[in-house]
Amino acid sequence: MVGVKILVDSEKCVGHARCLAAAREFFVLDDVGYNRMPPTVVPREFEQMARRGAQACPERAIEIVEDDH
Amino acid sequence: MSDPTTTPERRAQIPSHVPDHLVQPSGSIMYQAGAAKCPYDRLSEMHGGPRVLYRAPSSGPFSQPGAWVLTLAEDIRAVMQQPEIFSSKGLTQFPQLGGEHWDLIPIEVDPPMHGKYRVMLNPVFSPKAIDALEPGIRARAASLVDGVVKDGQCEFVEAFGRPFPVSIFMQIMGLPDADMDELNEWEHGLLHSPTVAQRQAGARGFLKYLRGLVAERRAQPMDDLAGFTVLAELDGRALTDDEVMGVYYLMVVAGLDTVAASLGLHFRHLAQDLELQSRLRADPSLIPDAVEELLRRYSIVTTNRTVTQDVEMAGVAMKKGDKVTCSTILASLDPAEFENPMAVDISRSPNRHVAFSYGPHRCLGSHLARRELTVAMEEWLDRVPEFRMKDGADAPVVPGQLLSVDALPLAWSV
Repeated sequence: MVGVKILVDSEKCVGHARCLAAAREFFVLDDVGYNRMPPTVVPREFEQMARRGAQACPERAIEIVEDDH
Repeated sequence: MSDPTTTPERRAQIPSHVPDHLVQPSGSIMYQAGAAKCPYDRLSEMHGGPRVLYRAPSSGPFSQPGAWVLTLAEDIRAVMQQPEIFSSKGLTQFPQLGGEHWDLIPIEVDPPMHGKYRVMLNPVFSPKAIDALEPGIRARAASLVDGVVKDGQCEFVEAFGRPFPVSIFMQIMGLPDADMDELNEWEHGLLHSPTVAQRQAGARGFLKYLRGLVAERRAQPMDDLAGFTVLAELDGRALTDDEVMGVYYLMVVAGLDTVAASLGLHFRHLAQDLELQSRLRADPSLIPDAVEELLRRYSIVTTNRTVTQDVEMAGVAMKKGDKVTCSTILASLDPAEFENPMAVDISRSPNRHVAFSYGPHRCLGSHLARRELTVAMEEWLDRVPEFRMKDGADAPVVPGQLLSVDALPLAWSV
């Protein structure tokens, strides 16, 4: 699938929950508001939403990389 | 400009590894009480200066040890994200002021214990837990606004800014409303008074009160945060009395002052920005973004860390034992991360401000604080017509470890 890969550094996520605020219903947080999602590839149409969530993170814990496999 | 810190006696108080040219006169940066200039303006101007400087120690009632002061958000973030190197042990000295020796939990605890306390406390303040509290929060805000709306005026801090978050906190914690005045008095003594005696009196007031609360909840646990804490398990054991005190003390100190200070600053801004008021009244869906931007523009907390090993940071050599001052205000007003940082622009995106700190010590109550600030603005703008500062009134920002306004006289037409 050609798209982007979302990489969350779970060491860096401290539960601000701003990714969710920026891209509601896109990021799924755990019960106490931390992002624990495994590396996830999403289709290109969701790239903008993924990037919006990544840019909202005060810790810079979310990275969006190209995935062309 | 002559610099009094470079006299031999003053220089002797400053560690030898600190370069002369980075030393600033004591107290001149953060704590210049009575200075004519607004602390936000003064701090913002530091971004034109060196990346890091060293504040000489100061004596007197608000004495401060010498400390590195970081100015860039990037450096402040790096320090806050590395609690193993930059420790928060002994940060507040509040227990010590009352003659006791334990940590405020979790803020004064370093990894790995810190993470265990957070796992224990996070569910109480999770976004979901706050969702469940929202109806009560909204009802409280509405009733306080209804109490003053017909008057056409109020002193905002006393009428709303303080009682709104404090009463919600007391309900969460399980404290009777009747104790509010006493708790506020100790809080004011501990955090905002000019003499050591007053600060000690505040610290001792809290200690005695909270020791009593520990005993009460041990005897009869209740369905509140105070009861939750005595029943909580950590590594398969109950918390000790000192650990329970550590949690209670932090909750009280953080719960009584922070949102109250933010509300005063946010509503001070709204009272002077009628265009923003009218935009938000016309489209309340913009209020969460407005709250974020006001949290950024008016971040309130300055905190400190202690260096646990020699390390290079912000281009200087820091030594074990050095203190590092991290101002969320400086970070949130850093032009390298926020274009035109002194302007309030609610469409700012991204707006990854640092009002709630960076790193694992991220404000435990951030989700509650955000909700309270949002609900307060929604209910206030929905019920009160255009408001402004009372004629001739001023509400200067009071400098200190936590920025705030003492009073905010507002007026509107009825």
